[in-house]
Amino acid sequence: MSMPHLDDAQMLDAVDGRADADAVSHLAACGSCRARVDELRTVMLTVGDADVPEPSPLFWDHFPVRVSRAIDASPQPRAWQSASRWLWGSASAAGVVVVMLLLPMRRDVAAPAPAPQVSDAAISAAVEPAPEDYESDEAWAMVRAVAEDVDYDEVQEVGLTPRAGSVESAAMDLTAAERAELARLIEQDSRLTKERLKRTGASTP
Amino acid sequence: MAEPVPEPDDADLVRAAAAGDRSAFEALVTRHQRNVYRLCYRFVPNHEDASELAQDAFVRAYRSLGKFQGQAQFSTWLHRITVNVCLNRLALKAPRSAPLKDIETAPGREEPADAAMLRGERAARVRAAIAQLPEKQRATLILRVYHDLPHEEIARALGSSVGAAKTNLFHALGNLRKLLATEK
Repeated sequence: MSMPHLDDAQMLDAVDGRADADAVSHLAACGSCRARVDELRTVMLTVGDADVPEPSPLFWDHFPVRVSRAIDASPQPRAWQSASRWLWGSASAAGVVVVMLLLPMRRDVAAPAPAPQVSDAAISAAVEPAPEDYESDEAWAMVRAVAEDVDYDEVQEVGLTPRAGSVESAAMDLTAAERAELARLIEQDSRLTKERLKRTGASTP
Repeated sequence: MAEPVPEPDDADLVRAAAAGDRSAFEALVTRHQRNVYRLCYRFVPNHEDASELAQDAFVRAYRSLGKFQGQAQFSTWLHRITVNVCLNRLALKAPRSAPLKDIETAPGREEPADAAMLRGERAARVRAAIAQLPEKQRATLILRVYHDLPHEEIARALGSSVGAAKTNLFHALGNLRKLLATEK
């Protein structure tokens, strides 16, 4: 019986030059699969050839200064921010990840309620704070600081699989009240963890 | 004759920067800024967003210097921070990029004689097509084609399975083929 056509993964392996012996013999006999592998290879080469335009030399001269200014302009880490690393071992931090993982599910299962006809702009203004509102939201800043310290390898080791970027994007689905509550939980956990470390004489990393 | 003073390596500069030497960190920025910027540009194909993301990546790195253990090379660690900054940005905001039709050569216009210009136009069309891909496909493609990451590493970076990473790449290439074919 002849081998069925190559699947997606086998075709990519063939593009990478890592097709197994069965795939190689199939490619030798199947013009259709060979043509598809050639197409994929051509697109890969076309994409690989697309250079990034070089900015002006003045940009490079100025960029380190620009970074330095941005560092000076960005707020110094606050106590809860500097604690966020060791907070990851704590219950509230795990809670942040779980909340973020569950949020998209909540969004998926929530059936949209029939709504009166209102303009898109009015709906946006009513339910979605402007992006700059997030920046000035203290609770959001705290949730974000903790979320940004997610070590995806460590989180995956305990069996969760958040995608990089999903934590922040999911956090934007929280209402202001939910963000404030999450921030309260993190602060509370931070305080309890510090007290526990003090009692046991352990030092914070 | 005096021996030339060797350039400090990244590890020396990281130690000095972590101890508060800002000029050491500026030296690290100068050394790595091109790679960071180019990586960001792959994700958001315009100068304004790419330079903003590159700046964010360095600020994040500076703030995290205390966590850098030195087990990996600084460039690897910085690359990872930059990818995370870019992925977060992709999840939060659509990049500003010109639609394909705005980049296409006008119908009937003569082909430019200059090969470099032709190459530049082709590259711009490819970047615009990549910008139209769904987020996961775009991230997978960039990490595979431009950073030569194996599928296993891509899966780890994106929190997906190896099979899903391969499927995303396969669909990304198929979509790009269609997008680039429609403009011919």
